[in-house]
Amino acid sequence: MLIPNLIGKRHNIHNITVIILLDDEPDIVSVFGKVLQLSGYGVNGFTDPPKALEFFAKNRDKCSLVITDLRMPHMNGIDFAAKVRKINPDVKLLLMTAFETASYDEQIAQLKFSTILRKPIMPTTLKATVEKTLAARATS
Amino acid sequence: MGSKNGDNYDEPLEDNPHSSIQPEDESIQIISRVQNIKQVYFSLLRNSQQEVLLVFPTINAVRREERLGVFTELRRARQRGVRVRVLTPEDDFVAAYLDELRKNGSVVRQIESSPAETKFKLLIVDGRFSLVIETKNDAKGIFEEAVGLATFSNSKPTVLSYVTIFESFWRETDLYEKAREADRLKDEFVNIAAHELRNPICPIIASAELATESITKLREGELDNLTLDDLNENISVIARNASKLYKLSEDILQVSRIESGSFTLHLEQVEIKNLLETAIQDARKNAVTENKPVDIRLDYRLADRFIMFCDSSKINQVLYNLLDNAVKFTENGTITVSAVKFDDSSLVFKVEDSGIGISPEIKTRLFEKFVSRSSGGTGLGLYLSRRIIDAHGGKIGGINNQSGVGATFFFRLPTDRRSPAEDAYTNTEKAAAHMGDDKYPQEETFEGHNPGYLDHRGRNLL
Repeated sequence: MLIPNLIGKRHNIHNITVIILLDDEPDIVSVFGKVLQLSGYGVNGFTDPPKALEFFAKNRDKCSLVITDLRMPHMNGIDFAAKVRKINPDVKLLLMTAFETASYDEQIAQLKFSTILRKPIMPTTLKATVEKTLAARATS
Repeated sequence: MGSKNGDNYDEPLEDNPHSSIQPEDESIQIISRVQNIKQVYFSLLRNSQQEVLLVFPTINAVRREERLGVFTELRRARQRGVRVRVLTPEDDFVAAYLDELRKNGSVVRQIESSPAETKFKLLIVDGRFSLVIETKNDAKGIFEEAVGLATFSNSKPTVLSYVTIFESFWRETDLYEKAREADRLKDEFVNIAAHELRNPICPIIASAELATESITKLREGELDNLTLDDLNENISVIARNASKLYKLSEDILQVSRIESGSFTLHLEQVEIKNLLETAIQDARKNAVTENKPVDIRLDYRLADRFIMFCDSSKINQVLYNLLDNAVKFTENGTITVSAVKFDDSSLVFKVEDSGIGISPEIKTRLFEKFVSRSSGGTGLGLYLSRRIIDAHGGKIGGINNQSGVGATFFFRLPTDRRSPAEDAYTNTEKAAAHMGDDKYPQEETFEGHNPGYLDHRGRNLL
């Protein structure tokens, strides 16, 4: 699990955009986490959905964006997102997946994911998507 | 009722063709009047005693005949205890009617809607009477407007020919179902495999980019330990995930070889003690690399130079897989590898750990593909182990230890195999027989009854 590191390089401590990143593959969490940190975001990485939920519940007002993988053991990204929405219906959600999502399309729309990132994800794509998502209007 | 020459027969028929037929009266009749066709059709259904075989050529035919009251007759036949078998195309519209049939005990199997040239309707009753009805215009909504000529026969050779045709369609639906299911499983496998391959690719690409940025910084003179540490980490991530990709692609290839029937065993004489000691040595190295304070021991209870026939590299793969899992799921403690004689013709190998055990939700699917993904694992290890042990004529299983701590995985191998031909999945027929073997009923074979480990015949494996 990536050690939570709330201090990005470009923003001061009061202006941090906090992102939660969840994937069952530790290397993905650490590498993507690093990519986003270098862009100035505060990233909290998790490989365990319950721990991510616990953290989110404690910091619901500070987290602007939750990025989650779809296919994980014990709890998939859809169920995780549903629980996140219960805690904070306004937070922005991004889904990362290598899987075909056709069977989940309805739930994805219902949970108001801002967009779906298909693996393998290029670092530039990740950065651009995160930027766009955070800049967009709040989820209705 | 008709002559043996198949004359056109346009006069009204008696209600029950059965009653007035003498053996000398066997014939084939052409019926052109639609009212007579209906009469014969219903009369045959109403008087059926043993079995009704029915083929619907199209979805519209199903609809028309339902409206006509055919399904009611079939229901009544079922109530009389008549066996009913139906071959029919199926879609969402007619599914309801067909399910009704299924509910009252008719066996209904799906066929593809017949091609334009062969839209015939076939009815065979009690193996003695056949009625074949042409479809003149499938677009019509009522039976009377849709059908053309019909032929009725009570002549044994003719009726039996139709029975043969029906039975061959019937058998085909079986194969079709199996092929469809196998296809679906294969697509599912390819889908999941593609996903699994994409996962390690992500950190490789991202780390390469991060490494490039680090190097740029170094060039610009921003040399500091943090940058070098980052570079080091980038390279480790790349190496680690490249290795994962390699393992995964090897496993996927092996699965595909098994499924296509080209998986062969190379049996040779193997010294069991050597095999086990090598596997343990490798496992010990892994434990050190992963910084796990686990002690791996050998409990060897056979003759010192015990030799058996097996494919040593594949059995090594199985041992390696079981030990790898044991180390992954055990934080500290002991892992014991043992080999013991089960009976005069087989051995049992066990890998017992003191780890977190097998979680109940995957217990029954342990040996299927992509079920349990240990970190760094490919998800195919146990599946492949199972196929290897099966190919050797053995059995594999895994249960949680009675002590409540850890699990034991074990496999039994026959020691009296000599000929490779018996064991290898060398031909597609054998492979086909195992298609759809994805379900592996663990509970039936090894699930723990006290005192411990039972094989599929309920014998204690210890």
